Amino acid sequence: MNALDYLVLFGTLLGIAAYGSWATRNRSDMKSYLKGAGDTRWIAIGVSVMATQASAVTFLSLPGQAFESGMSFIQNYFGAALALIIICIFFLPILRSLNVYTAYEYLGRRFDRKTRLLGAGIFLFQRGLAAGITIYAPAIVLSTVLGWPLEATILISGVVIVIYTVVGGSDAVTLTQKYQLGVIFTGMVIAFFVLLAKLPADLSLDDALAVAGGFDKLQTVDLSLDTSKRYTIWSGIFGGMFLALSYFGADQSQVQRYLHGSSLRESRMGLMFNAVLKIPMQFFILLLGALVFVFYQFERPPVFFNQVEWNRQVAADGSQNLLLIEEEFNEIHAEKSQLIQRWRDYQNAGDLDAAEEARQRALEAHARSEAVRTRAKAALVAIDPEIATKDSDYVFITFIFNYLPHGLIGLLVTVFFASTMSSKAGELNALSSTTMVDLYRHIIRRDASDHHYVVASRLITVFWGIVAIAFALMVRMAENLIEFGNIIGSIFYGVPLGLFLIAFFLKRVGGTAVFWSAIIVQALIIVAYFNSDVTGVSYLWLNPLGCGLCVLLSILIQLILGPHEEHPEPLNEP
Amino acid sequence: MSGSAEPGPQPGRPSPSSKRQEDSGTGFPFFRSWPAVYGFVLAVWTLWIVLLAAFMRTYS
Repeated sequence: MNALDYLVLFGTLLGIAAYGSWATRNRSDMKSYLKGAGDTRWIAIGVSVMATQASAVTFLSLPGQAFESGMSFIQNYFGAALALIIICIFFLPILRSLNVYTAYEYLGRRFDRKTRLLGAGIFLFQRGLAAGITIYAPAIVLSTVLGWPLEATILISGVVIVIYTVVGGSDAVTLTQKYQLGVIFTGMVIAFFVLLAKLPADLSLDDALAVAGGFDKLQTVDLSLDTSKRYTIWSGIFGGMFLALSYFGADQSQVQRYLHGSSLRESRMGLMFNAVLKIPMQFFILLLGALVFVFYQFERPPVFFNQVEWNRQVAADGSQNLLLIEEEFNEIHAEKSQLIQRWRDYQNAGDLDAAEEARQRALEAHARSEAVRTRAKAALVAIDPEIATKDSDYVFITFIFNYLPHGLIGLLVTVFFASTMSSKAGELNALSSTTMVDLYRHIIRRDASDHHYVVASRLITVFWGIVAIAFALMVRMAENLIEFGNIIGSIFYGVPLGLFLIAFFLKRVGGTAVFWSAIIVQALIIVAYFNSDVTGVSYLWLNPLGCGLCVLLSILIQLILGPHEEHPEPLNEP
Repeated sequence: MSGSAEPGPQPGRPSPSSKRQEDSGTGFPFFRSWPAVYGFVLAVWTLWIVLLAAFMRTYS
């Protein structure tokens, strides 16, 4: 990065944060601080919901996922639109009509205090974990590539987010997310066109897609009924729907974004905006990864995409083993490029049999080059057993740093930081609201002034910011980051969703039955995840499983207990 | 563990003011009711999946 890149990076990030803080500096009562002024239009809600989901992990990890395993991950999002429609029909009218600050207040109203605290507790635990990942995930990649200390990357993004979230509250988050998402999409669209321009001159977009398809990178719909397969249309529609239903319906970081709306209509339109755009947005990001794959069929890729680590280990490796592996990889790559060129030539000449034969040979060369990459990773581990060998998160940023002009590099790095800030701010805001409304105001200080609660909310936001930064500074993770986030969601989202579904649809089931059912099922789901090699169930199915078991067990316990007594909490009371 | 029930809006029953907002239309010129909006979104959703399947078939 040169001075121009740094100017783009810091100018954009600090400018947006400063504007958000300034524009919302007068939010001095608790309602407007935690819920916003209540005048947000649908487009701002839609953008805010989208920005909270789209963390830097999305933009770093998704292209790498497509590069490595193809676009089948898109199926993970097939259920989102269905979930959003269900939220609009059942969840939104109730939550808005009760005028709640958090979704868990509703559980208190419908069941009792202990169920409300359980729902809020599960949220705080899983979102607290995820908040650390949101900062850590991009920081580890960016610090490696930029050559900055990891601690500096975490602290810069963490501290800036905490400042403007503390100063401006919920409205500052919504306002800044709008501009951050603008920067994010501008950067990604520019990267797309630069990528197209960098492909060989005789390779059109259509040709590039044919090459990607020839290597099975465009498998977007898999009708297989095999439940052990991670991504199929069925796990996407059903598992993905439950995941999205839990995320949008039972996770305060999303609920808070759409409760902002000036009316039920605005909130609904904001969610429908996301329902329509979710699949094409994720498709576009994955497509970038597939095209980066095509690009690297004609341009020599590094044998290991975390090049900083590779160069460090090459310097440390006295036996030159790594250099020999790299040389072998380069030779196979050159052979593969020629085979792909031959395949295309036969195809253009209309000789389909010869084209298919050349393609098969290119696939065989690709398999050999992947085997060499695996050997390279094993050699790295032999030198340093602590090394993180999963390098797919470095694929897209390596392309950016090696092939984009200065200025654009700064813009794309801004994209990663801006997306960290937009999603992290939404999470911090939700963690703060839940702690304030469901714990502090509910249990610790019931009758304080509005000013007291605003000050306390600010301090709680700082607390969660410090927790997230500390977690990010201490955590050690290596595997694909977006999957890790989804796995946490799959383990901890099913049960809260079950609580809300029982609350809405099973009026005969009371607080005691759902409370014990939720605790038992949550424990079972954790055990099932850590024994997935025995159960053979993909993590995406844990969500519907947790939700379904929670509902069934609640009914069963209620039948044993007999008719329940109503013990709802009063609304909007401390 | 529990407080006593107090009068207030009942879960599942929108208050009169929000009901009015809901009844005031969808904001879309072509869709007068929310079921029509949801139907449209479902149609677009189906179209995306069909297009993805066609995309995959074209280039595989």
